[in-house]
Amino acid sequence: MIFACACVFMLLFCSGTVLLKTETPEQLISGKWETVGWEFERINRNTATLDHKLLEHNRNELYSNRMFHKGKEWEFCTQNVLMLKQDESLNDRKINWFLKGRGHILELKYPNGKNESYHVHILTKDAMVVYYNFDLEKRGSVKITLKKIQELNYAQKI
Amino acid sequence: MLRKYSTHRTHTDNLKLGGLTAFSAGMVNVISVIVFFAFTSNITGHFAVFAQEIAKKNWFQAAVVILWILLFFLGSFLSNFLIIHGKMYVGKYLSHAIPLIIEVICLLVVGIYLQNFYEESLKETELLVGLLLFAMGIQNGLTASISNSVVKTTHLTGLTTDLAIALSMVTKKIYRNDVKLLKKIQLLSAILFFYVSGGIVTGFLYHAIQNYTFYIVCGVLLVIILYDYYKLKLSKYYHKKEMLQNAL
Repeated sequence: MIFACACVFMLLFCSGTVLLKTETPEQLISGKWETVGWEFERINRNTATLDHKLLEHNRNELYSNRMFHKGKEWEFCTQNVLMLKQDESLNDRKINWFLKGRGHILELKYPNGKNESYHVHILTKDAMVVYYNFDLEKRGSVKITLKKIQELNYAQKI
Repeated sequence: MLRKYSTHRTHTDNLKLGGLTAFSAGMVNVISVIVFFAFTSNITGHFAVFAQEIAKKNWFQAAVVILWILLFFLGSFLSNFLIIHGKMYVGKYLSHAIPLIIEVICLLVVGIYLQNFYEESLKETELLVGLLLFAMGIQNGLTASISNSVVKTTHLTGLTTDLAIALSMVTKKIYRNDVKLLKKIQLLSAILFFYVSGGIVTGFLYHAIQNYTFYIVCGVLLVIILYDYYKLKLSKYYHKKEMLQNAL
């Protein structure tokens, strides 16, 4: 009994300390990110060798059918606001972002009521890899890699 | 279905308890997946996720998952603790009903919070998932404890295995008339059916009434609590009536 209690308290203490000391996924995700990779994982060819036009065509197809964002630069702001900076020809978009589960699901909510979610595969201070969520148990076939844009503070600027 | 304990329980008691609690567990699991993107009626997957997060060095997520597992554990612990210690203070019925009342309170808290205060922050999500896991731990602890581990309703892994084993036994002629085995198959199939039904019903219900679905789950659990209360009252009434008649 004493051993069982000790184990439970040990686990509680360790996990509590970890929760207090480590950065939360919400803190890690805050800031500006730029899209550096956009891959289709479930096709029988290496996307790196694919014709650029074909990749662009597939991407647009997905945009028009299921994925709604076209952001090249994602800025996760406070109050759960996500600024999606798009091509120069398009206007920037402002949507809402939420982290769900244990921080492994990124949910984007559009003003028109449409939602989309991403499985957060990697989230560190400077890199993020997300998979578009097609289904509950299925990781999406679209992998998006993002790199954090390091913003210089005033001291660094001068 | 609630007040009888261990070997005093009949097959019908287990069927009723198993069916209703499995239905509510199926409902809770589906709502939590829709709202929080996390399973809450079972923890097998969470153990795998914990190992995965450790391997990926995601310490924060690993800590969250281990706390969820601990909450399920604490729920089951509290449930049995109340059953074995509460009997001498509040009687068998109430000591069995208190865990369910706590579960209803947990579900109500989650439902009310979602409707009025939820801002969809990660902290809130993690806490509410934890509370649902605690509630499911309580339910699983209760059903397993009072039925002598015959009824377990929040997960289907063991149940599917048991059902498969029982059905494979029936392939041998000598077991086909084994009443005990047939009753076991009936009970396991009922739990499986009601768990899945609860999930499907919730899938439809949630789109229509959103977070009000939590009140429906509470309603199902209240049926279990009040069914025995009503039966107790009824038997007391008949007992009194009989005594009066005898006295006259």
